This record gives sequence, structure tokens and C-alpha cells, in this order.
Amino acid sequence: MIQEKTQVGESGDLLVETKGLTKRYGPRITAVSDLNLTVKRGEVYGFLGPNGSGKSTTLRMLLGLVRPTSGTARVLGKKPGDPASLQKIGALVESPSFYPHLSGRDNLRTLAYYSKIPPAWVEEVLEQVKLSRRAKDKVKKYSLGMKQRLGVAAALLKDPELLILDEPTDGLDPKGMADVREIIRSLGRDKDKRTVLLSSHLLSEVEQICDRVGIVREGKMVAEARMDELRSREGLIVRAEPLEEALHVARWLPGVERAWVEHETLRLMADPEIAAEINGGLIRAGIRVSELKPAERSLEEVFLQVTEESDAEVPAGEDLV
Amino acid sequence: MYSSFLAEVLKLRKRPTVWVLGALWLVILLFFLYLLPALFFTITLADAPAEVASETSLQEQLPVLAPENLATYLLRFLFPGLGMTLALILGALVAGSEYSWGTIKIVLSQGPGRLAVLSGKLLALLSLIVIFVFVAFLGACVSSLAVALFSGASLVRPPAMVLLGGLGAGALMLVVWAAFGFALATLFRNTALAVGLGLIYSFAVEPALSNLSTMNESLQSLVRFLPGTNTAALSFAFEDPGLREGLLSPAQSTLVVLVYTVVFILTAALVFWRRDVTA
Repeated sequence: MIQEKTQVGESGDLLVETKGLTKRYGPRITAVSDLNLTVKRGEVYGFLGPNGSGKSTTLRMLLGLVRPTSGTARVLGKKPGDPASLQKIGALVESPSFYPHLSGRDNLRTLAYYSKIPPAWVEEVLEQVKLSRRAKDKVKKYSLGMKQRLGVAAALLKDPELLILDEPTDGLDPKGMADVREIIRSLGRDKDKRTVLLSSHLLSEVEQICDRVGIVREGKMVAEARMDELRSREGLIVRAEPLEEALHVARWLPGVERAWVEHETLRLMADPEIAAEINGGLIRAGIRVSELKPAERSLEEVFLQVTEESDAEVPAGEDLV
Repeated sequence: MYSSFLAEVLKLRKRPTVWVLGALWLVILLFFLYLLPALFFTITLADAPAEVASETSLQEQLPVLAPENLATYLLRFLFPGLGMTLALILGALVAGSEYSWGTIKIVLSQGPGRLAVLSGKLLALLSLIVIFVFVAFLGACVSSLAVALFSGASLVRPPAMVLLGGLGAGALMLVVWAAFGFALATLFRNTALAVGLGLIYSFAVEPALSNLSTMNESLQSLVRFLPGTNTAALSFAFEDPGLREGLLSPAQSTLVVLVYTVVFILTAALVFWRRDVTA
């Protein structure tokens, strides 16, 4: 089934764009606050945050299931929930829910009716998620992993331009996770055709699959960047001799926020863009610099740092500026 | 809306609860409204003196069982109690189950507008009600014919106007309660609560108001316009005017029931259209 690519107008190649998106439940609960989010065509965007940080509410707002209190959102160039844009969006929001008295195939047929999709496409997506053999069984007999795969099949039913997947591996055993992960990976590879907005707790997976990541905390976007940018924000790793003297000098160099020793190397909290200046400063002080490179952290480290209330902690025994 | 209707039909067609309720409807009709009365009469007659037994027939003793009375019989004895209960349950099931299964979010993210989904559900519910009404009339027709043949009575079909009117009144009686169940389930996002509240209203609140109304004139005027009273009035639509004393005329009852149906549907539509889907 071939769908025409959506022309998203002034927003160019942004399939999702929110400006100041806010959702309040009563005067005291703010689920999402002033959220600005952009998802570009063809990218796999990781939407991360701790439980209760407003991810699901945001995704529901993008699907028109929840109305924002204020702010705007455009999805595929249209207002969220617009039937024309929903026709091109595949979604799996939180745990997949199906009609327990219907078979997997009939569940998809029901959704195909709603989406006005030819029933033949049902067989193709069942094949895609490897559920054809169990398609005639009632969903109440399915394992959680099978339900999750059926959820992905439901999301793929419209051959969507934009896939919104909210915790697609939540609650699965390792085998189920691996199955769903593989499906998402294969979808992510198809960049010409598909854009994926993925919310997940599995940071290692997000790290491998996503091009760009946004991290929310308490409903606010606290970090949004390309994956490589995000990981290299840590600063610099310097291999220098003598180490103690290098540490002492580095503390006073302009642009260095923090310096400490870790694994026999000097770690600097500084913009990697000023690496040359730092190198020059150390050399001028008589320090021998054998290596200077941007420090890359795992996504998990970045996530923990930006989502924790306090500043990033430095392991005990290490020196802070 | 048509595609939403097809989706809804598929769900209902394969739902065991719907078949169980349908079977219950038919069994109660056949067993309690025809078979048991006929059986009791036959047993009683067997003990009667021979001259009495030869001079009486089943249809003379129980004229309601005759084919010509099937419409009025159903309207009075099947539709008001069991009919409205089943309709209430069906309405609540169609609207409320999506919330208990958590499927409402997946339905609404498929593309049809909210009102298209709601219209599809209502149309499917209406179709189901019409099927229930036809099944009841068909079952009653077969049963009353069997009774007539068994007792050797003459076969007289009911007047066409009464038959058609009975079908319409029966459908209307079920539709208003189905709409009530549908609205309650949409409001409370729950099937069981909707059924419970609906039954409490129909079997406790309205009868209580009706009893109290004998002591208060203004309450009496209010009760005349309640859905239960008017459903009852419709069940007497083809009876002698004497039996309808104190009730609105069939035309007025029809209007009141239609107004309630529209109010219930509009309430459900407004809530469904406006409310966030957080489940």
C-alpha cells in the first residue's frame, strides 16, 4: 500500500511540532508544561523521561486523545486528532489493548474498518510481526509479548508516515523485548518512508536506534539534541603528565567549569568546542598532553544527570573544582 | 460513519455476551410467555370434570396466547421488564466495554472522528435492538401458531396496524433504555456501574416516585413525563382506553420517549466528543 507523503507546509520537514504545549489537570497538577518538541521527517526520535514525567500525556495530545490546556501542536501539518493526519499515523500508546473475545486477525480487521484500510493488508502486517500462525486465536489467549506485537501490527496497519510508540517493550520478558526491538529496528532503518517517535525506558535500545533524543522531567523538556551531541556534552578527557599538575592548571583555565581525575585521566567539564584553547593552556604551563578528546557518556548517564533534581554527582574521592 | 458501523458490527457479532442475551430473550419469551402458561392450563384442565374440559379451550382461557393478540401480549409482558433490562445492558455494553478493555484510545487513534465512532456505535446498537424486536415477534408468532394448532382454535392474524404499531412501540421501548444505558456508560466510562445505576433508576427510583406521586399532585405531573411511565404507557398503546387511565396518550408517550432518546444520545455525544481519553 502506497501513501502519498504529507506536505507539511511552512514547518518544512517537521512532522511534529509543539510550541508551549501545556496540559493541566485541575489547579495543582501540571502533566506537561510549556513543551517545545520537534520531530523531523525520517528521523527516529527518542522521547525519554522518568515515570510520570508527562511523556504519555504528550503523546496522547499529539494523537488528539487529550486536549492541551494551552500551547499549540501540529502533527503532519494538521491539528492533533485531525482524521486526515491520523490516517497517516500509526500509534501504540502504553500497553496495547484489544478486544479479548476477538482473534488477533479480527482485532486488526476491526481497526482496518475504522481506518478504511483494505482487509488484505491485515495479513501483511500479521506476517510482518510474525503472528500469522496465531492470528485466529482469541487475543485473551495471547501472551503479553504477542499482544505487544499485535499492538505494533495495529500501528503498522495504515503503513504510516509517522509511528508513535509509547513504551512498546514495557512489561515484556527478554524474548518479547528482543522481538519488539527487532521490529522497531527494522522500522527505523526505513528512513525514507517512516518517521518514528519512540518513548521508552530501555535507554540502551534508544541509544542504538534513535537519531535524536528529547528528555522530559516533570512535564518540561530538559534536554533535546542529536544523540552524539548529547553524549559528548560531558566535556573532555585529557591524558596528561604530570597529572596532579595538569589538574591544578586546568582548574584555572577559562571555560572549564569543573575538573577531576578519573581512571588516571583528567576529566574536564567544558565545551568540547574549546578543546584547542585548553590544549594550548596546558602546554603553555609545561604539561605534556598526549591525548585530548570529547568525553562520551552513555545515554543512561545523560538521562540520570538531567532527570535528577540535584546536580550530577561525582564519585567519592574525586576532585571537584 | 459506515466504516465505524461495520467495525462495531464485527465486534458485536462475535461477542458471546450478545448471543447469550439474545438466547435469554428468546428462551424467556418461549418458555415463560407461551410454554409454561400453556402447560399449566393443560395440567389444570386434565384435573377438571369432563364436561368442563370439553367446553373450554386454551384460547378461551388464555386469549393472550392467540396469534391475533401477540403484539399486545409482547408489549405488555415482554418489553417493559425484560426488554428494557436487556436494552439497558446492551446500550451499556456497546459504550462501556471500550473503556474497560482500554480499546477506546486505539479506536480513536485510527482516524475516524469521535462523532463518527459514536454514530457507528449507535447505529449498530439500533440494528441490534431491531433484530431483538423482530426475533421476539417471530418467536411469538411461531409460539402462538403452535398454541392455536394445538388447541384447535381458529387462526386469526393480528390487525396489520396493531402488528406494525407493536413492532414500532416495542422498538421504541427498547431504544430509549438502550440509549439510557449507552449514556450512563459513556458518562461513567464503565459498563457495570452503568447497568447498576440504570437498574436502580428503573426498578427503585421511578417506582418510588410513582408511589409518592399519589400523595402529591405536582409530583404526579412529573411522573407522567418520566421514561419508565411512558415506556409503560407505550406497552398499553393498543389496549382499551380504560386500561390506559392516568397515562399519556400513545402519541404523547411516543413523543416523550423520543425526546428522552435524543437527550440521552446528545448527552453521550457531548461527553464523548469533549472528554480527554486518559484510560
